[in-house]
Amino acid sequence: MNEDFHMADKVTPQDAIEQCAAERLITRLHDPDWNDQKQADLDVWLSESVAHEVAYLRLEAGWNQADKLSILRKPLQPSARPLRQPQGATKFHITAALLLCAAIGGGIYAAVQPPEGQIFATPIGGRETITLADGSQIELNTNSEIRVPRGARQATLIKGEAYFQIKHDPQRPFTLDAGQHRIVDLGTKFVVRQNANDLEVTLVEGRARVESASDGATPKAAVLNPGDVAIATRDDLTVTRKPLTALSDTLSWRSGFVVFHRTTLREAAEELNRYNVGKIVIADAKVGERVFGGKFRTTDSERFANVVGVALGLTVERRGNEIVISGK
Amino acid sequence: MSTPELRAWFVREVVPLEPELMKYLQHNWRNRSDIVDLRQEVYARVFDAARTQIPEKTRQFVFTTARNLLINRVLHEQVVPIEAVADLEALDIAKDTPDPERSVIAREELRRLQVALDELPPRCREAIVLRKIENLSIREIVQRMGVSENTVKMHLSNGVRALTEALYGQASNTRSGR
Repeated sequence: MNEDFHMADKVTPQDAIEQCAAERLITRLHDPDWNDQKQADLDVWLSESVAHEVAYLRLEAGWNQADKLSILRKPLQPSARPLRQPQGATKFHITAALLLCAAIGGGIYAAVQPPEGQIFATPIGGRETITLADGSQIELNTNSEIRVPRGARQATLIKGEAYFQIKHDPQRPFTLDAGQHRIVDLGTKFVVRQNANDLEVTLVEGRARVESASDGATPKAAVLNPGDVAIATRDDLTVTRKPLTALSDTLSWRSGFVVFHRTTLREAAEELNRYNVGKIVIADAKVGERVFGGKFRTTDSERFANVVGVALGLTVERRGNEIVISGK
Repeated sequence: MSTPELRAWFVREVVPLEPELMKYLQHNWRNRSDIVDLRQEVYARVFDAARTQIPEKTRQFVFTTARNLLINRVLHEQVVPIEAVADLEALDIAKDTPDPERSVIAREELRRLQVALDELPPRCREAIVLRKIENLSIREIVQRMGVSENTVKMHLSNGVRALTEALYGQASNTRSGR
């Protein structure tokens, strides 16, 4: 424990600054009546000395990190699991509530709370926006599928990628299930993308918690702040941070574009292929490792291939439904 | 006032180095009661210097700053015997380690937070639980606890100090018992 905390009678100048910083931080973040005047007062105090500012920032870092405690929160309600599981029926259950459901038997549970509700899906190259009863919006990217039970604050991403703008309700947090992973919003905009071997969650605004569990492993969880990207695999949950520019690139599909920075041709082609029925094929591995950048229309793989061909000095040929890129 | 960019950098990259920095300061400075002041002085210098340009290698920059500060103190105060800083040169500040395994760190952080939470005085703990775990607003906490807004803020202020200290402040051998 912090000794200062117990020995308030022994106050050093550093203590006094820290106490002051703590009060100002809490007021700044949580005062229901925060206004310009209070902001101005805070700015004055912060600019008085570097000592003030660094003490404040240090506590801010600690307070943000303390969000991890939200993992300790008990789930409010079990959410419906789909009857049809893509792989291995009751394999992945995350919260205690769900474990309990598994124990009484998925069949009974499903009967009590049938996972009806609608399934929304987009074809390759498609995009669709779904507005929920509470005003939350889900924007589906290409070749994606989501199940949304009626009236529930829950959805299940079956495949693909989607952008969520969730109306926050502290009494009824929104949860999104995807494979063995679950995202619980704490007032949020986020993108979820299912790749072949992992689930990628990028937090754009607000906060959200990612929970992940697989058989025999301890459940893992992380709280995401804006810019954080969680990569959840079968066994691991890691969090990295993207600069804000990269964040807007992550979302560029919403306006019909993909953006590449120092991306290999192989990865870029895979990305374009998500959006197009006519696939780009890279003829040899060496060509696939060439690195380039640029912004392209998701649904125009022909133009993509031509630009890349010119820029990297490669040969581009149409073969039936495919576009083949090879070295000269 | 500093730029948001500078502040974000400080929160994201400098403060998380604190456990390591504390270990370093404790290892190289005999007078334990100076350590917190030294730490804040390092922060202030790092922050000031970064105003002109945010350094590329944060870790190296922070530890070089710490080292220079200690050397300066030794030279100017003439209080500490010179061997107190003998290890300074040995510090491998050039190595900018990549992130160690994040999940391990995250688990360790959660454990420390939980311990710190348990050690808080009951009312303070209650306020922190309502805010950080139940995600209630100050107004809701006021209602739930039946105390004034200022009291809630006081509990949260004390809580944020204790939790921050638990996360960053204590290097291994200085935990409690002093």
